[in-house]
Amino acid sequence: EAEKKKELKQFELSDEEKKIILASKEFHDFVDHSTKMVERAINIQYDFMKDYSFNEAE
Amino acid sequence: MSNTEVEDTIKRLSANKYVQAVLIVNKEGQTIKSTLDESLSKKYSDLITKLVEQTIHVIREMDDEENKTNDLSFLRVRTKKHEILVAPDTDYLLIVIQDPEKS
Repeated sequence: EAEKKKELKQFELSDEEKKIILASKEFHDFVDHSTKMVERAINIQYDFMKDYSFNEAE
Repeated sequence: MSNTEVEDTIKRLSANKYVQAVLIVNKEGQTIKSTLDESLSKKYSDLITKLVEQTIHVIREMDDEENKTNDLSFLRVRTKKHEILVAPDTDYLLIVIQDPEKS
């Protein structure tokens, strides 16, 4: 169990690695661009499934 | 954009009443930012990264044999319980899980 946890830890980014990514311009540009895209997608209120859902009867 | 602006942007996105989770992962599926706890972040990052890889594979395979230039721009999966939105880039993925029940 402990070994498994260790393996898991190694695969994850260290705080130092995260800090470097979080400070990079490239990452900032990505966040700026991708959040705008997602925000627009979730803010469109039209629900195309509303009256045509196949799951209704359940 | 600065570090603070990045934090604010993620906070603003996760404050949306329909948004259940926000994750930013790299292409290896390693979590960089997440509004979920460690084990759920790991699980979602792993699964969604695999889904994205498979999707990209499908797109490439469907593309013109001679000139494979197509790529994934956005992935949206609607389920009974929620909706998964993925905005991919060369190095990172933005993953948003939202409640699609908009009244």
